[in-house]
Amino acid sequence: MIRRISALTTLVGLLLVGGIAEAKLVAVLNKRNPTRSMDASTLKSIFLGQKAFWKGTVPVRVLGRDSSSGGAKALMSVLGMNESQFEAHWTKRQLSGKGVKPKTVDSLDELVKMIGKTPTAVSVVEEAELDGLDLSKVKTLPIE
Amino acid sequence: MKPAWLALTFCTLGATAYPVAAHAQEEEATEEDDWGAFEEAAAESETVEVFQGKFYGYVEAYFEQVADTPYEIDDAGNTVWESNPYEFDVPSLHVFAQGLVFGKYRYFVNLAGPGSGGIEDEPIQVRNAWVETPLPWFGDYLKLRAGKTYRRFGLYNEILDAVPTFIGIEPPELFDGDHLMLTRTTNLMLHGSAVFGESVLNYSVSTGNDERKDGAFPIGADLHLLQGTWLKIGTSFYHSGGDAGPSKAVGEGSPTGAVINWMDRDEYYVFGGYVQVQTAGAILQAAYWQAEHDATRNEEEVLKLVEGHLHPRQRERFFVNGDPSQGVNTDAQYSVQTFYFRGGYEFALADQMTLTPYLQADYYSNPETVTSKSLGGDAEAGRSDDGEFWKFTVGAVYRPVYPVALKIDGSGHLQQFNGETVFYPELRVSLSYLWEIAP
Repeated sequence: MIRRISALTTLVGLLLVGGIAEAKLVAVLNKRNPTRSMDASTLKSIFLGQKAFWKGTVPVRVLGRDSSSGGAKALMSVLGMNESQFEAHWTKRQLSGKGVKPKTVDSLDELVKMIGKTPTAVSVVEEAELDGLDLSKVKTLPIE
Repeated sequence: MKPAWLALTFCTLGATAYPVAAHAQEEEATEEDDWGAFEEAAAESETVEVFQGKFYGYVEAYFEQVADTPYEIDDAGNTVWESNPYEFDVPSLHVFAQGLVFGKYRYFVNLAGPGSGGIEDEPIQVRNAWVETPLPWFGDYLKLRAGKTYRRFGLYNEILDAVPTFIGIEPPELFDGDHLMLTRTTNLMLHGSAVFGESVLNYSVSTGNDERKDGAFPIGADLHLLQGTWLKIGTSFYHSGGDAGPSKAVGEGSPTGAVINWMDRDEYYVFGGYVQVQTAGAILQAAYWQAEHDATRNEEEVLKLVEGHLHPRQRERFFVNGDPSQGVNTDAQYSVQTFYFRGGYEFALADQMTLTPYLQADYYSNPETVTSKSLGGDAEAGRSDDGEFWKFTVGAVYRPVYPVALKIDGSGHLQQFNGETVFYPELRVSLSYLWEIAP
């Protein structure tokens, strides 16, 4: 009996561990940013230019990813758009003075360093992409 | 064997629990709960750039051919038709600069060279030149914009200079340069947005010089809701806030606002609503607008209209007993109405290549306008017996890559002239491309 319960517990545990180890989207922010959570709606409003300030008049500095990156593809999924629609959205906003398309940073290492130096910066990556990088000046928030 | 199984079970549970505990510790150790300190850190950051910006624009080349159009009625009562020459033009030449100062003061400059396709040099116009600041504590909720800015009104006013991005070539009749229902730009706008989950509520009020006379205080407002990326629904309103005056005299071309050239004064308001649905490649739009004018005609200016081939209804409207020699009817209360439906579907042909066929139906009614554009008319409703017309359009937008748009469309005007229903088609081709320089 104990053996069966142990086996079952082991199996459940392995499944849980395996689940945590799967790639998931996280927001990367400067460690000094007091934001505690990031839901999909807030992420959308940030990357579509509808939320330009963290709180009060503290501006959001959005950094995008190269379109071929896993983080960029996952972001499109959260936004409910494809790359062409995202381009169209930002072209309209640019031409009507509602903002400028987020700057794209190709290198993940450079992205993390930029966020670490810029308190107001934010981007999204797949958590697995951060392995091996120096994350001492940034923090990650899972997308809820 | 039992201890080995138990050990493996505890190890598994421990491996499961450890990341959760570690995350909780990390969260507690690194988060700051002080937005004031964060704002100071943001301001002092060595990487804050004083000026962030982008320089971009687009060019539109254009061709139009209008079929023969009804011009006047001869002495025998027959309709006289006139031919129209084909026309090449560069109707849109825009250069934009946009960016942020210290990360939060937005600036936007839009220089335009409309009608640059002719052999004469055309002046460069300032379409937008404004700076915007978030109000303290309010951030996204309230921002103040000052300078020269497009008024937030309906689906199109802010994006009409974004020709490559929307279906159709011609603007909705509300903002057709031949018969604007209100001025497109103003000087001061207070606006903001509030995000509620997937919904974003946008609101604005604006005022400026517009067409005001004396102590008038014009005011415009817009309220619309964005639901995700698929729905936009809203309403806009404008009031001249007192008497407004014409921007052009008779003989100087189409007015740049709602007050027709031959008015001495005009107090008016505009209201209406709009909706846009975008889903699975399809885009559907509908809008209705109505303007109510309480105006007084200028007798000297109205008499100049005699040279403009007025038809009987217009003569009755402007002159006592339809006879200019008997005097001018100076009171002018009238309504202008328009509505439209637009629909298109985007087919993805290749990586960035798309084809978007579209259909449009527009209705416009204005009993006050006349045919001659040089006198201040519109050559559309002004041509019609009853001041009304329908326009049906079918076309397509082909984008080989997103920044390049080739549009071809044909439309037909349906209206009454000399007691008969007349129909005349038009063909338009537009090629536009976007460019940008981003440091």
